[in-house]
Amino acid sequence: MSSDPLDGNYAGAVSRLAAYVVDLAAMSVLLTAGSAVVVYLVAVITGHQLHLSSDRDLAAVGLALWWVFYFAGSWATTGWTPGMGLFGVRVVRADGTPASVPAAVLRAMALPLSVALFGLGFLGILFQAQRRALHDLIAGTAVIYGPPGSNAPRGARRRGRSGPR
Amino acid sequence: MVVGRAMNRSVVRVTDLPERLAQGVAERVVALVVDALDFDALLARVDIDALLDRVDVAAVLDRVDIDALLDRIDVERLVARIDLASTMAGTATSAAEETLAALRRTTERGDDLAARWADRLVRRT
Repeated sequence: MSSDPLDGNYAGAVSRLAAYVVDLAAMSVLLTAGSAVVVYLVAVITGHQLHLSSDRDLAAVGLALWWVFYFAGSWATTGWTPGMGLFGVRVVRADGTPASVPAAVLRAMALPLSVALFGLGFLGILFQAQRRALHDLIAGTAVIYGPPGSNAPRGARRRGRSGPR
Repeated sequence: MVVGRAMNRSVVRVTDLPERLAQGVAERVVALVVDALDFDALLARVDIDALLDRVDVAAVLDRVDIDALLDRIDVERLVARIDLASTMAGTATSAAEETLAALRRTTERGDDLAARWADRLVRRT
C-alpha cells in the first residue's frame, strides 16, 4: 500500500488541459477588457494615448504581470483558477497542504517554461507517478481532484483503482 | 277571530310532542344502522372498475362550465402563493450542478483513458 496520502487523487491530463484552455480564454477576455480600461483611463487622466499594440515591451510586461496575478493569485488564495474550479481540480503542495504564495508565484512563472520546451514539460502529467508537470516539480506542487473551497482532498476517490499513477 | 288563534296555538302544542318523539326515534334508528354497518366490508364488495366503466367522463365534462369555473379562480392569488422565483432558481441551480458533474465525470474518464494510453506506451501495468 502506498504511503502517499494523495495517491489515486492526482488529476489527469484531460481535466488539466481543459481547465488550462478555459483559463486562457478567461484570461484573454479579462486582459483585453482591462487593457481597454487602462488605455481609456490613461488617456482621460494624462491626455497621453497608449498604443499597446505597437508598444510590444509594455504589452509583454502587462501580459506577464497579469499572468502571474491571475494564476498565482488564484492558486495562493483558493487553490484553483476559474477553469480548474470548473473541472474540479486544484493546486496543492506536494504534501497535500494548500499552496503558499511563493510556491504559487514560482509555479505561475515556471508554467511558460513547460510550454516553451515544446510542451515536453507537460509529459510528466502522463508519465510521472504523481502526474506532476515540470512546473509542478519546480514549485513543489501537485494538482489533485477536489471540490473548490475544501482543504481536504477528495479522499482517495480513485484510490485502489488499477492504472498508472 | 281571537278564539281561532287560540285554537291554532293549542293544536301546534299538541302536535309538537309526537313530532319531536318521532324525530328522536328516527335519529336513534339511523345511528344504530350506521353503527351496525361494516363500511370496509361494504367497500370491498364494490367493483370500482365496473363503477368507473359506467361513468361517462365526457358527459360529466360536458356539464362542467369551464369558463364559469375559471372565472371563479383568483389567478393573481394563486400565482402569489407560488414562489415562482425560488422554484425557477432551484431548478436552474440543480440543472447547472448536474451539468457540471457530468462535465467533470467526462474529463475524468478522459484522464483515465489518457493515463491508460500512456501506460501502454511505456509498457507499464
